Amino acid sequence: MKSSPGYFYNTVGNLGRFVLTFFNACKEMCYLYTRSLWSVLRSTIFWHNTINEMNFIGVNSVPLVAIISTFTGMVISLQVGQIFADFGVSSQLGNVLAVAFGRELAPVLTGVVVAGRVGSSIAAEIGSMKVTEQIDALKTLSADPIDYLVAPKLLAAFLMMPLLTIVSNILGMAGGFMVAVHQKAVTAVAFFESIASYITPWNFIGGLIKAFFFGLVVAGVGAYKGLHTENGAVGVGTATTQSVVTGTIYIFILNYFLTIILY
Amino acid sequence: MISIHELGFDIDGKTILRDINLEVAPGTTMVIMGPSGCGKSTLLRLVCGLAKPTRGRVLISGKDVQSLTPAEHRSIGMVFQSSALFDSLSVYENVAFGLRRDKTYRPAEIEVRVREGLARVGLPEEDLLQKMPADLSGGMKKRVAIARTLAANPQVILYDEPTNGLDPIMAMTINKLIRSLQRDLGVTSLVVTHDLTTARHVGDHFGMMLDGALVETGTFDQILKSKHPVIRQFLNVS
Repeated sequence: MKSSPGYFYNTVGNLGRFVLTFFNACKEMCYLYTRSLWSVLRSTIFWHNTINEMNFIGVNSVPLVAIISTFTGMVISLQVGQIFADFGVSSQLGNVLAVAFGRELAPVLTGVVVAGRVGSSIAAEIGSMKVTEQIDALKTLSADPIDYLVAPKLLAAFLMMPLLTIVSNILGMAGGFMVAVHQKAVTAVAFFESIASYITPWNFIGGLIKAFFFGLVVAGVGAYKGLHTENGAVGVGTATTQSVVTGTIYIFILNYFLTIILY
Repeated sequence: MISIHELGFDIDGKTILRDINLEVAPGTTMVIMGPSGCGKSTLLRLVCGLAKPTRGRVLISGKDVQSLTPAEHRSIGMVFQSSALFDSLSVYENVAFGLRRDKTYRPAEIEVRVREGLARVGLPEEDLLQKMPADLSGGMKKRVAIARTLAANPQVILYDEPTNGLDPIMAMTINKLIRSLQRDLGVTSLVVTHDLTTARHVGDHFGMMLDGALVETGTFDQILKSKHPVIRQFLNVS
């Protein structure tokens, strides 16, 4: 009975619960960020773990970011190159690629890759530690789980995401350049001249600023989902999936607002 | 050593523990028995300071457990039901973890204490040190967890179902180990278990919990003679 008052109250009740849960999650994530910042400032963070996380989040993500960025650059060059050729402006391909990668594609692609590879791993690691009482064991040994687990991951993601974005920029442009020169008959000189004529450093700096935020979002969502894992192995699976889905959604929403602010 | 006063714990409007009063004398072992889900593990979490009580308080050597400093907190060790060894750390690093948090220990001292701790729990093998928890049997994990707890030199050790999931021979090894630690080191222990064999071997004093309340305390024989129908049923089935 969709028109009954019961259905109306149920819907309003569910909406209210969703809003409360959302704001509660925001509050707890803010706590994770501020507490992690405090951990870094007081140097109670486990620096050894931070180095390990930088290796895992940054260095180990390079091959994936490299492959995805290179082929994305090549595809864009193929598609846009054809349209530009029809309009006789093929020489502007470098300009378009630089704007696309510098402002949007490099940070967003890297963010999505890291959300899939790293966000899920963070949620699974912390979640399995939660359900096997390892987080409680940390507390009994006077180690704060934020200092030991969360802050190193947040700091590592914050620092490594911009570096991965730089890799994505370079390889995406390289892929696009190869296709432009070898398949679309754009000369190397024309390609780089179009970049030099229109592109300002801010196109790339803005993308790097986005990457800092995306790193915090991916690691923060993974840590939050991990710390709230319940119900054993099933719960770990759920937390892992949710961290990827939520992290990716947040990246796209945040990207819109950052684009308004930055450009 | 451990004083529990009017302890109560609610979660999501449901009462998990109600009006628990308990004293555990220094150097003795108190065993809390009861069926699964009666609140035994929650009681340990409150005694350890992992959760905040809704009502009442827990005193360790006269100090409220909620107000202990990190250094004071290290005097309370806990052996978890699942052993809770850190998956990403070797046996050596697991046992050394608590010692490294205490800045007063030099690396050489830490190594000595780790080896002593593992030898005390019957694991003196050199090649064990670099093994990962995934390479250990359930009984070895439990003993490494006890060594990790012992390394911090605690005055109080809390055991959550210490023999759960172990074969009878390994369970007896763990029982003897708990007993020897109390006898040799004089630690105060609180053990929760639903295993009567473990309870009989490790305990000096006993308590029976049902539905979040401590319904009976005394010697093992006094518990056995309880007239409470649910306790009788628990003892008969066990």
